Amino acid sequence: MRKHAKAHAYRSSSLVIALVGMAAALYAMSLPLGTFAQPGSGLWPLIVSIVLTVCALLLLVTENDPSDYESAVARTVVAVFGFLLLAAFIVGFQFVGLTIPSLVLIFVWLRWLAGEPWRLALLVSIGATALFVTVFVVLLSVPVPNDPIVSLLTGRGF
Amino acid sequence: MDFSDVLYGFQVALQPENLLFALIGVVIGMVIGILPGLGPPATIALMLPLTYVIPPEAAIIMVAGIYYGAYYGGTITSVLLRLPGEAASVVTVYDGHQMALQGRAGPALGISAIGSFIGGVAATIGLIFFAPVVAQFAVKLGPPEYVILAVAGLAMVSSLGSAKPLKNVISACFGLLIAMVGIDVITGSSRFTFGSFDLLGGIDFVAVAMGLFGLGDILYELEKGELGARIKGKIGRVLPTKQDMKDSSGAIARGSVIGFVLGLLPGGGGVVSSLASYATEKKVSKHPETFGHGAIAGVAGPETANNAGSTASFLPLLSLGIPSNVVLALVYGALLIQGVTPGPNLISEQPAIFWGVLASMVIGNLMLLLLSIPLIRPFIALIKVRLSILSSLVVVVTMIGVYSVANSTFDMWVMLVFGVIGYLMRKTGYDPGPMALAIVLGPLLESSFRQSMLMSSGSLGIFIERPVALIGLLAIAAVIGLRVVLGRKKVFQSLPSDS
Repeated sequence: MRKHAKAHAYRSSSLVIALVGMAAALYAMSLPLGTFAQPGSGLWPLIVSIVLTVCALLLLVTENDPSDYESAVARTVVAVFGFLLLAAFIVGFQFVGLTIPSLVLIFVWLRWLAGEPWRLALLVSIGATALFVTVFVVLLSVPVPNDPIVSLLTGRGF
Repeated sequence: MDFSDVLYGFQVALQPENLLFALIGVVIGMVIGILPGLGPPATIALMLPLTYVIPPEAAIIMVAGIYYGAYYGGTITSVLLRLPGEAASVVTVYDGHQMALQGRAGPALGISAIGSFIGGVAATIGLIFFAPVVAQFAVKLGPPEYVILAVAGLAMVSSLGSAKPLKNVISACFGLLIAMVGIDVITGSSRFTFGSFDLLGGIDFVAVAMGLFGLGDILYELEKGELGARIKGKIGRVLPTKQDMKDSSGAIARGSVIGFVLGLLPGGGGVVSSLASYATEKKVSKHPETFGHGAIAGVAGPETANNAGSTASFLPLLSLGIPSNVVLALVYGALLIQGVTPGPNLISEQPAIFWGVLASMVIGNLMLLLLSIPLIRPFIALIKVRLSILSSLVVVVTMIGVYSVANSTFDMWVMLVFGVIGYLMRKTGYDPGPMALAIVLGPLLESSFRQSMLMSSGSLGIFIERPVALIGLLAIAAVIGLRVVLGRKKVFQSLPSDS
């Protein structure tokens, strides 16, 4: 039974898509549909949602070849960690600007995601961060949120 | 066509600033194109924020340079590493890599550069003649015709894309739903915003494209753990010999024509053109048995057709406002960032962009030729750069880039979410291309559909009553039918078995 379920696990993505399609169709029906002669804002989303749902259900039923689907491997954790690191970067960027999040992201990425030596990770993260701050904040004046390190270096204080 | 328009185009393209951005585009395209895993869509997606800070002509000239530069970069990895940078270079692997193993990587890359140049220039000349004619015709098209054109674009991409057709349709439907997020322009009501103020303005295409193609690709490749690449075979002299040129001349001439014609079709471009050219060359060759074993015509033809097709695919975008493939959808995005809407009026309203971009393609292809031969060796050294190191820097640049478009951290989150979606799509065999194309075509398709319904008082017959729409529908049906009957299998049958 368990083996059978595992063999059909690849179909779960089609099922999820079909459910998303149905949810979108229900949402579209909550909008004014109008008629074909006078289409409302919900008609087009409803048509697309129905096509999406039908295609996903067709795929669910007809797809017998799981070779399209890659199962999670040991290194999948690298990708997951990468996305979490980027989420942390965005949160950090909102509060302390570019310098610290960039330094941390590059260092952690190189050291733990890519397995580079400590010294290389440190040198590249410091060098690249200095370059990014110079180019984007100083030269191109991208209005990044308040960056305490830049404020300190430019004598503006925290 | 007035010849003075062409001269005006060269005047624009030859301005120092535009020359510089064409050069930057070609070099960046080549550099990023040779890095494993990052093809033209990812390269252009990652560069989109930069286009925001430069003038419109320069931005599109640069993006066009990235486009054909990245295709040539993909050729380098196909020949040397048997690793096609993108789908259009797949066929180059068969004979190009065999040539590399025989110590003739140099001539393979050299003939690719020469073929690409000739194909690109031939297609540009074709564009100069045909684009204004198509644009004049397009002015007369109404909403029903635009519905058919947009559906044709999506149908062809879904039919010819790398994933299963049904999966491509699903991907396109998701794109259409994403395009609906925000205010409905006809009724003014909000849709799919779920009370979020940030979503009222819609989801930014740049953030979506950078997530789907940029972040998604990077994390997917990082998971694979690809390290520096090992080059097999010797490079040899780069310039092809007289005999090489003689063996390739027919293939280059045929590749130019095949590429231009197939590049005009929705969903066409480099991929279909290179496949068709390879099949043709094998068929017309006196020694078809040499194909798959290092036949130079098997490199010259597809590479020429690839570049001619990529160049020709600009025609539907510049003259109709319909991007015919995912890369052109990104170019469309770059134009929108600049406040320029591609379409039949582009020639009259933005002549500098229209003629400047066309002229820059000749100049850009010349740059590609001049740079590629002497710079092949330094570019090869770049292949050895570990993706892990490069990716850490690229993600930070990407994040700042997407933030700088609208100074919005919300767009950074959008990019991250679509990065996850892009990664999951690759893991489950979906192609993000149709989704991106649908996001771009979605607003046009919906507004044209609703206008058509208003015009016909709700009758779907409007799509078969109007001659041009009917011809469009029949053309879609014919191409899809042909695809079903012949199948890609038949084209691939002409390819050597995986060697």
